[in-house]
Amino acid sequence: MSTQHIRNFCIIAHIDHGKSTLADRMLEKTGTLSRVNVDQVLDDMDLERERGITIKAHSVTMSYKHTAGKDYTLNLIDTPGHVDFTYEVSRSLAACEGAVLVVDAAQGVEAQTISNLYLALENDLTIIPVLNKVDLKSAQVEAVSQQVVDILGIDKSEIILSSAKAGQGVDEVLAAVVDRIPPPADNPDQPLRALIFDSIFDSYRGAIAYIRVFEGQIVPGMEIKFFSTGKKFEVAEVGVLQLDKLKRKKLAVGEVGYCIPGAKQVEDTKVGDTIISASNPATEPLPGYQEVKPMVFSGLFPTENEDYEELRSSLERLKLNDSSLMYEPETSQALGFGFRAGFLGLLHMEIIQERLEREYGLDILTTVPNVEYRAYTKAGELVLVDNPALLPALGVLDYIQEPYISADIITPTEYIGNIMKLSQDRRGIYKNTEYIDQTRASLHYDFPLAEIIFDFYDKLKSLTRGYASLDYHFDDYRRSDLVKLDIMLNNEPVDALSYIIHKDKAFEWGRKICSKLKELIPRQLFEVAVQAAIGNKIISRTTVRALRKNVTAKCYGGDISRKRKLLERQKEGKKRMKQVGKVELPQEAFLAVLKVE
Amino acid sequence: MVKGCEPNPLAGETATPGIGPQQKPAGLYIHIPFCDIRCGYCDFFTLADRHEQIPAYLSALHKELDSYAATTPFGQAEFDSIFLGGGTPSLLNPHQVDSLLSFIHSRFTISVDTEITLETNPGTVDLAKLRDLRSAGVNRLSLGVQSFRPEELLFLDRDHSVDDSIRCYDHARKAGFDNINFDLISGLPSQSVQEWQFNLQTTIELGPNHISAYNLTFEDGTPLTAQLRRGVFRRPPTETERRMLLLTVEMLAAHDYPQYEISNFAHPGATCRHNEKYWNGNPYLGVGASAHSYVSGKRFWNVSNLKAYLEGLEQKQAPIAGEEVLTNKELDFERAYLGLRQRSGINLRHFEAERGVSVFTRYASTLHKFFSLTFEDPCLNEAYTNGNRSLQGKHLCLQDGHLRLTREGVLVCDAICSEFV
Ligand SMILES: Nc1nc2c(ncn2[C@@H]2O[C@H](COP(=O)(O)OP(=O)(O)O)[C@@H](O)[C@H]2O)c(=O)[nH]1
Ligand code: SF4
Repeated sequence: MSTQHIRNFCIIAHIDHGKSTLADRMLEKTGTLSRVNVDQVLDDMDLERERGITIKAHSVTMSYKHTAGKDYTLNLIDTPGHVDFTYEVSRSLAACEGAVLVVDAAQGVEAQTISNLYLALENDLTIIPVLNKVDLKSAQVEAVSQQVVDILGIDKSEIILSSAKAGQGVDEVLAAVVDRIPPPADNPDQPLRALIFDSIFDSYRGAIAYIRVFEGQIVPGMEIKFFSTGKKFEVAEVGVLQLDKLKRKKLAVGEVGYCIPGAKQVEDTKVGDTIISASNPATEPLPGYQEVKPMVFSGLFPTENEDYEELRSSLERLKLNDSSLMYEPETSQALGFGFRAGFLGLLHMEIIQERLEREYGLDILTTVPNVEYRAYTKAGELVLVDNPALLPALGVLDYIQEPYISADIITPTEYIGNIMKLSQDRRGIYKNTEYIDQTRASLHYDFPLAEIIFDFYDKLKSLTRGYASLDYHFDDYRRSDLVKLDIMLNNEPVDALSYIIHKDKAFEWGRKICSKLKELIPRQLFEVAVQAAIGNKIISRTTVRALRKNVTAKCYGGDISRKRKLLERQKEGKKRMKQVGKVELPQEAFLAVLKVE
Repeated sequence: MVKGCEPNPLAGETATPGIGPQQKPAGLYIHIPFCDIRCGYCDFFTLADRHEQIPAYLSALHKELDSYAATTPFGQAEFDSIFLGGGTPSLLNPHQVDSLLSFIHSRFTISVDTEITLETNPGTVDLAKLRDLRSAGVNRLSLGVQSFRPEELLFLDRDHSVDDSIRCYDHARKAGFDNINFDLISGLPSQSVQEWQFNLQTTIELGPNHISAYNLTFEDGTPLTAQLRRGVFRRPPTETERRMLLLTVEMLAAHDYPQYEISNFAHPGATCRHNEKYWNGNPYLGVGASAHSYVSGKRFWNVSNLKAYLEGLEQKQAPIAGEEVLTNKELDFERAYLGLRQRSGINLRHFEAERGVSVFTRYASTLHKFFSLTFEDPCLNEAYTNGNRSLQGKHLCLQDGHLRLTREGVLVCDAICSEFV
């Protein structure tokens, strides 16, 4: 059998432009799924649904009868929709020959539309432009079509108008997938090369790799090897995905499906890696594999010290199905034993925290996230600093580099001023502006990653009434004038509160953090001096005065039990705080930096 | 450890340390849940306008008392304090008080010098009635004076005037009461320190033997708390409350009323024996609706519902709503916190004898923290074993075998006590 009847494609879109809805309609039209209540089947994790984002990419195999009468197999590969997961998106795209580009006819082209489009073009994909939501009154079919024509350099007639919601235009999209996207290259006789575009962990079967076979074939029983690690496994099962796993005798060239290699952890089935045959190994991997690099780091500490082991085993289990999660033990003077964990981005970090709390029932305390700095000592030594507390001392330190990203911000032109002000505030380096049309522009900036990981996106949204969109990718490390701001409580530095910041901002931040801490630290039996310091220099100080009065009067007969319980509760409240020296610090204090305006 | 409870939790109980002939005498509390009107700040179990139920209630009380008289341990106990509280027990007529006390004497072992207190609202008694109460055996009056400023009485919904209070006190003395307490409330919204000082000054001039000075507490479910939440008024600033408490302690001490418990002050020898039982872990029996009892690490309490109380006794059932058996940890803590709330502090030797563990062992890390000592420092151990050595911290002091709050400690008593949980 040749590959002529196969089409591998994905749908790319800015968030909320209708990717999932269109995917659902395709599943319905091809009979893969009758119109059931399960909306948006491609997102199947609870967390994802709540957050309205796709974290894990999966694929679906559909049978489609083309109007010309021939039967086709369409493999739709889903892509994650958040900037934290750009690499995963690019691997999914690499598994395809074409992409359906969905643009909301009312919103127009946005940052993710463009960034995803570029990723698709880098992978030489055929693009099928679709203007969705044409049913909306606010749809601007003409103007948005023009935007699409301008960025893609295509003929307007190639654009398909659709209303995914109403099921309109979906047949045209399916037909275009067959007509316009080329079938996969047919290389059945070469040794096996298959791309892992995603992998998940199944508690019964171990790692499951979602793969696209580029050359040769993969069959159960065959011994395979993962190119990046050299590890060998015997294939237990292969098959295709039609919502559920459907076992097959083999996956042949051009096909998309899953492979269960009998590996115990997803660490072994790395996204982007190439599967080859152990007995007849291909010499080159498929292009594009990268080791995932965490971008954001934070300390994870159990609220109760006894839960340390539990946290460790929970992280181990999370790591089984999330190879991008990195962690290593960390000891903090203030917080005791915990872990320093690395994440792809802030969203990824929040997801992990939430899973630890929800799925594993842990109460954890997270420290302020930071990026990884490169510190060079005067002796010329490079120290990677993923924890501010570990920055070499001032006398030893020569200079520091920090990660920069390059960002595209797409916005209605009237907000350009606001955005420029915000960007300047965040140490952004302006590059240039491109006009998409008269009303919309794309601003190009470089930013220190540290300046945008927290609230940049929220600020951007609020300054532009929700109209601006942002996309970014890592650029390089650059030298910056950074200092470590230490926070001291009663003259003792609290390592978990240290923070690396640009010199020009340090003074004001020190002041603001001190006053935020003053707000957050409840009055206690002893006075608490809060100081911010750079090296030996105190740049700000404030005091949380001692409790002045805390005594209740009556205590007779029945009051005795009642009062005992009140005091026990008062103690419970204290227990939820972290004892740092004599000071009781509420958990929020460790994130005080984030709350500074 | 709280659970609902079968009738008479003590029936069949054998081992009863802390009570018995050679043990500490017990206290008897009798709750009278009737008032003329309900004060806005009050969260006691009491009913206004149900005076017609008083006779039925009294006969139920007799039944309840009777049930304890026949059983261990209270039937064997010796009592040396009786406290009629409420509510407004002074609503009872002297005859009713007399027959209640006689009944008690006929059923229980009551010491000769028993302290018998009656809570009295000024305005409910005249000279004649006071004389009769005195002859009925009441030897201590606790007067609900609350304030000597008319606007404050009004705010508190009190049903009497300043003159009523003064006249009542005068009559009580005339009637032969030589042990009188005043209840006072401080910390009213918008009350100034000077205004509070006026109340203290007036009290000192009148010269009761004992003074209970409470900071107004906003209890859940009271009309006053509802008003507070609606923002009708505000609590006084913490700083004002602090100054009021300090002033109370200092002024009363200067007039020979040393503070012997957070809110209690007395001339030497005039402390309230009954209340001290609550604080020292001595046994007490509480009868009447909502009353609490305690013996040998077990606390139990009656229903807070008049109908249920009356009907229960009608059917010869103990009107008990719940009980609590204190764990060792809870017992340690009660000894510690109730000790700290008293001027005498925690008596280290008594604690160890009673609890089987020394304060030093049980609360090692807490004590080190309060005295800013490291664990290597031998100071604490020395002060603990050697009665002549003393340790002085900001909040606590360890002296003559007692652990006490300092003046500053008294002001933040709750925060300190919670460290002893
Ligand atoms: N009016 C209209 N709404 C649509 C259409 N397609 C999707 N939507 C709605 O747009 C929102 C976002 O769609 P979704 O498919 O979740 O977007 P995704 O984030 O790109 O996957 C949902 O509320 C959909 O119901 C359409 O053609 N017309
Ligand atoms: S008189 Fe006493 S018991 Fe009665 S309502 Fe007032 S405060 Fe409460």
